[in-house]
Amino acid sequence: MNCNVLIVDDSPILRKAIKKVVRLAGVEEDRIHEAGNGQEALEILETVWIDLVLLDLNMPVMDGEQFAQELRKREDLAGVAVVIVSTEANKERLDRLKALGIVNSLRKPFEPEDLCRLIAKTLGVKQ
Amino acid sequence: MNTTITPDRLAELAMKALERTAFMMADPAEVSAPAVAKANRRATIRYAGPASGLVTIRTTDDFLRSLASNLLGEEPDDIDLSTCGDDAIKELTNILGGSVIHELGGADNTFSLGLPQVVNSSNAQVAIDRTCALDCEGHPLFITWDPDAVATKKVA
Repeated sequence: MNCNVLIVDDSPILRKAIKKVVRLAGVEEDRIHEAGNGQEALEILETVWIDLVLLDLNMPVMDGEQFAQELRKREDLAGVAVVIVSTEANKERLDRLKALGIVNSLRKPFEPEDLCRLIAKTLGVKQ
Repeated sequence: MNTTITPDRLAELAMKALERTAFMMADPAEVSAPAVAKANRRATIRYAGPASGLVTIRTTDDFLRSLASNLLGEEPDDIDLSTCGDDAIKELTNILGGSVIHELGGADNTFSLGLPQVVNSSNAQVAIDRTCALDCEGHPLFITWDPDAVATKKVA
């Protein structure tokens, strides 16, 4: 799959676990990028073209919602696809994210196949 | 909204989280104060919203090595607990905290979850009647749900 994916999660161990699933979805390893919070993610987005962001919500420094707001403010990055992958499923928060155009979310704990399906669906790839 | 989570239900949530996240199988076990006292690794996560509370996990280094091994797909002997141990227990605590607020508030819940914290002090009292025990592939795991009396709007 010729796309670049950015995993944004403050847990290094979970980033590695998600990275394995993204590879199973067919994304090459050197196309998978990692960030520990929203601020780091924005810095990566300034230097690398990213097709899909897998975004945790509860993170220090800059959380997932703040990151999404910043992303949508930037004209060159506003179209980047984002999928929420988080333990939290606060309706009000998810509604605010939906208003930013982020409609796909996956609640932890998830089955690896669920994430694979969501990645394919978001990127418009037939499995 | 649910207002209570029994230890049996807490155990079910934890078993599901372990199976889905780390492909680890666990069985309910008996809670005893001496067994809990031997679990030297502890992490907590706080939630707030319509109600507030705390979820605490207690376990051992050997369980964390096994958990990290499963999460990373690496051999247990290759796991460096000094770097992976805290991360593994925080992530499991985070996932269980999320499961608890989902159980309390359902899919449309309005709870917010704090960040998981590793606790180094070992002298805390354990509420046995709100604690479940699991045997996870030979390793002990204890999960305690502590609802607060006072509701707060947002986790700091």
